[in-house]
Amino acid sequence: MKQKSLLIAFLLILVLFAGCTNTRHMLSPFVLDPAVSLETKLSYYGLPEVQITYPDVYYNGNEWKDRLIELVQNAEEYLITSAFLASSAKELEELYETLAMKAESGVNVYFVVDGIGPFDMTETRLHLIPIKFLTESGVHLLEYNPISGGRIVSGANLLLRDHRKFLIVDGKYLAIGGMNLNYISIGATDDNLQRDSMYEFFSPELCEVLLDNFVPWWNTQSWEEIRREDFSVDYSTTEGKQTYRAWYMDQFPLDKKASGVYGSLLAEAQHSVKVLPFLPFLDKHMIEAFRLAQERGVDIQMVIPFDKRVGNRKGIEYMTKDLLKMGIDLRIEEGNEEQQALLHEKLMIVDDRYVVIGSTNLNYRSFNLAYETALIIDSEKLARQVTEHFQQIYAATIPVTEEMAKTWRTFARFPRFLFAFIGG
Amino acid sequence: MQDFHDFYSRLLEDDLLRRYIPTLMILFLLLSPLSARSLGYGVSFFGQTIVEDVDLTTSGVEFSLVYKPYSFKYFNPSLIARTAFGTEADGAYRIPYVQMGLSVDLLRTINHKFNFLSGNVVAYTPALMGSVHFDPRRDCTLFSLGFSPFKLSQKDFWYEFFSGFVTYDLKTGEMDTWGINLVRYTYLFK
Repeated sequence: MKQKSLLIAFLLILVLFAGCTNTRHMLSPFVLDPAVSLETKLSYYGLPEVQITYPDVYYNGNEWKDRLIELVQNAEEYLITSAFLASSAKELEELYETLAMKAESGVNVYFVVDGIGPFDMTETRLHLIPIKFLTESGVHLLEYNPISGGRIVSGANLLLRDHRKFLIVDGKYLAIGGMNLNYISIGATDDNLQRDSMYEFFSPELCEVLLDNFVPWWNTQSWEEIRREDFSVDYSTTEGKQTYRAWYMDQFPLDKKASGVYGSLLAEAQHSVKVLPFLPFLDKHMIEAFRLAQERGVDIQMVIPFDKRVGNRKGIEYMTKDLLKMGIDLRIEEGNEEQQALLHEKLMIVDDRYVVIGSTNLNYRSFNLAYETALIIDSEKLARQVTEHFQQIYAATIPVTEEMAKTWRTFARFPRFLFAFIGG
Repeated sequence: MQDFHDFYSRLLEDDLLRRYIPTLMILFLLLSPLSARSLGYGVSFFGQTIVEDVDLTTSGVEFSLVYKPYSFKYFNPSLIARTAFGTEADGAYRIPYVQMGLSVDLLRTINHKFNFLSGNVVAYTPALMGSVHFDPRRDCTLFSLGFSPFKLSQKDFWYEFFSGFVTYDLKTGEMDTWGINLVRYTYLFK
């Protein structure tokens, strides 16, 4: 009887969330209409257009950590950082000590981390030091939607997570990407260090947008209310520098924005799309959007990472049979459980022109159940640079075949797939 | 009022309510992300006794609905409806009360001794509640006065510990019932 009830409850969750998916917007007539420009579509989905300088790209977590420490040390007025996972470790002591020192010196430090952190089941769990100690130094720490016994009352809301990763320092320095602030993202010095990316650039316009979004959001979460006018923006940072068009997406849980944006980009594609999805748990609408683009003659390459974590890997393997329905060049990294550093990067390159970066995984969870960021940069120069990076990753992959997918489609893998589809 | 009483009696006799409460709760929790904001719901564990009839002592679960239109620092009002469901001394399932009333947070401060209980900043908001208290078992309506001395609030959550209440029969002026809510969690959709 108990087992029956549990099964019914689980199926209810699946039906509820599958029924509420926003990804149908990827296939809406408006998104698919070739007569509507990409700019119009992005504007319709609420993405402001901004100008940004050419970014410095960090592909190594240790290098980003060193740069981050430098940025924190130089902060004079305020610093805002958001990460899905953040915890200290021996290797990260300098970063967290610098943050604490800055807060003690009077710099306003706002630190947002998702409440799932204590349940980090990556290699980080062996190096995890909670960061609540930061509050003793005056850091304004906010744990989004923490998971605790009492909060079970909030039901399915516990599935809603803040997955954004961004940094603003003094309205001057900006960074967006996929790196967390935990051991495996920026602390480890061996194969446990994930392969990922962070993009640092100047953009007073994007600073304004981020602050306009952040301040009211913070005030809905915390009693330590803040005022927008207390965060200044430095407009001198882009003077004399070449800038590029970009659109910023700030996706809220249960919002249709990510679906509209990614659907519009796929509909815009004329000849090529290159994708690093991280956890590729696409639902039927997402698969159909890719299939339609491929059917129009767009050459689509997608690289699935080799995940050392057996649970995730088996879930991904189960999913490949559905992914093959897209008819695209679907590849998986050759890897082994002992040495492979996890490819955590999220990237999409459209027509060697639009580069999409940020925290958004190409999957059901990111498109429906999470706060996410994405920046669409219109720069052929940057597209060339990241395509080179993509090709290096692509070179170490093998095609996913029907035979492989058939072998992986086992009942034993199904529970791991289900868990990862909602929670991955 | 008799109809109301008969309705609940039938539900309990048929054992329907007890059987379906877990299902209803699961559905409610699943649907909550889709609900409007500024409303909330809560779950509590209560115990209560009636001064003149200890056989009607009840303990169990209390469910509440909250409407909090404002966020004043002092005397912040909320409209609250509550219903309890529990077992009496003889093991029978009963609804001992339905309450509807006004709760007022007397003050809100983040400078207090309980911040260690939470990772996030939490406000101390002791609250008083006055409500109409209906006991469907006895078909009587009373006035209830409650106090939550240990109520901690976040923007989206209330945590209440050891909240007490007493009810008075306004006709006789005598205390009728007293009870305690050991812990109450209230989730506000925001």
